[in-house]
Amino acid sequence: MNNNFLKLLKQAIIFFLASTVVIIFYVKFFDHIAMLAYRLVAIFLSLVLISNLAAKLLTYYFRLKKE
Amino acid sequence: MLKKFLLYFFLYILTGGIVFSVFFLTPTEKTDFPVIRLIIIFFATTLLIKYFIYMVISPWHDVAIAFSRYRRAKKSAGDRYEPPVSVLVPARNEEAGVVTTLKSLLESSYKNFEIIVIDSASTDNTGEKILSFIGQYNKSRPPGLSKVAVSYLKEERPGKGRALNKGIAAASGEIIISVDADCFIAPETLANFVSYFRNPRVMAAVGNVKIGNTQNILGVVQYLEFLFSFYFKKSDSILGSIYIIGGAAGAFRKEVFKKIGGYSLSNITEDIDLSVRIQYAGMKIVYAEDAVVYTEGAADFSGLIRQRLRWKSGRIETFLKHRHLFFSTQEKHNKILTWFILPLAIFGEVQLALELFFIIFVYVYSYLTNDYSSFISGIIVVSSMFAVQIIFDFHRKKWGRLVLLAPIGWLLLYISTFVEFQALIMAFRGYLRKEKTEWQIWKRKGVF
Repeated sequence: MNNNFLKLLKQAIIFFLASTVVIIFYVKFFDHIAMLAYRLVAIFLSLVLISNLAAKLLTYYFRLKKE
Repeated sequence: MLKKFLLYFFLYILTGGIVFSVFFLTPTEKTDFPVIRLIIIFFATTLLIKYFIYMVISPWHDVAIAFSRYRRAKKSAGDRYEPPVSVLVPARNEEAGVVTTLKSLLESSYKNFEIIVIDSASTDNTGEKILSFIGQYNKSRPPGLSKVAVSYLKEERPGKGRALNKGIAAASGEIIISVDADCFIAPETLANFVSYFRNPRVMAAVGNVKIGNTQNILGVVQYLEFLFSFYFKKSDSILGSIYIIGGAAGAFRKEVFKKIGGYSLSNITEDIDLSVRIQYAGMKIVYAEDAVVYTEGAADFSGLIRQRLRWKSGRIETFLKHRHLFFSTQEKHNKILTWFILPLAIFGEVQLALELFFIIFVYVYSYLTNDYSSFISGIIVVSSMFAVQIIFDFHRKKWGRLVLLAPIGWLLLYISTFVEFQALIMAFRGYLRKEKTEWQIWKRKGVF
């Protein structure tokens, strides 16, 4: 495994962990407050984060394969 | 510096105050002001849906580009694609920055290109500066600068469209790239632009324009605004519905101009008019995210308002001219553009007209009911969008300082909403009075 790959892997893990923490925080916290607006925002953010994360990982994958 | 720090501090205190209210104030009964509550929910939901679509689709643009490059690399390993390129630089009273623009172009990693500078009726020393630079360059080319032909054309009558048409007529390249004379072009920009034209279906590409002068608060506001709008261009590109190729960084195959003619001489936003005509002809436009161009943003409020007035007037004029594109069922037209993006652009203008009042409305409602849920939701959404755009940007190595702006991004955007609102009102007033908006004469500082 080259350095580039390890760097990308590290970044991907950090993003994954960060987004997991954010999602858990939003879902738990806003479930307690139970307000429509917060629930909507939680869904919005979760899906946006998941979409961005998945896209970023796939982009890395194709870039690495190209190299 | 101190002024900027104090302003940021104030914005943070304001945001912090609202967050504090959510935790420590007890909301009153939700039955208060039911109509107002319904209006807020309706307006906020439409905004949320719009941003949701853009934020979810946009990141897949990077995947599509990486995948197509990987597939091409596999198919045609080692194939070189270096068609001749003509770079057009229209300049009107750009003595402060035009030489820097030319120097940055000459430092480009792409070698097979020519530069054509068109002096459009400048009343300052733009022409002298260009000619003196060309003379020096031809005499003793500085080391590290590539050897390219740099020519100078003089257009006596003002008008950016006229200047660009003169450049197109003189251009010999297969691909024509237009950049503004106040820009700094990154070394890889031309090569990256050209790489998109490997796909024979691509007829035009829009570059990634960033604001270079972020020393004052207005520069920062414009920087964030450009970041927002260019991030959303990614989803427009995926959906094939880009309808604005900004004059600061646009690339076209020369045959585009043969097929649909040159820039409009009457439209004040000749770039939007051309882009809509390209879409109208059913040609493919893509977003070249890695073709980065740094531009000088407006330095004062009046300059910014005049710029936005020109954009709004031009957009209204273009939409009216090409109104039959709306909800078009013709096969060559992109249905997502005609049925979704263009109507959404009109909706966006209406929304913009209401947004300024909506935020005040939400604030008063929150204050009266102690229910800050809709307010805080808005702040969370806008801040998160900024954070995601900054963090997930492939072209930014350091985002630490920039991401600190995310929590107060909603307030910074409010400044731009205010400017856009003023421009919108002025544009409508001008349209009703049949006033003509002129090509703006900038007071350039030359920031690069």
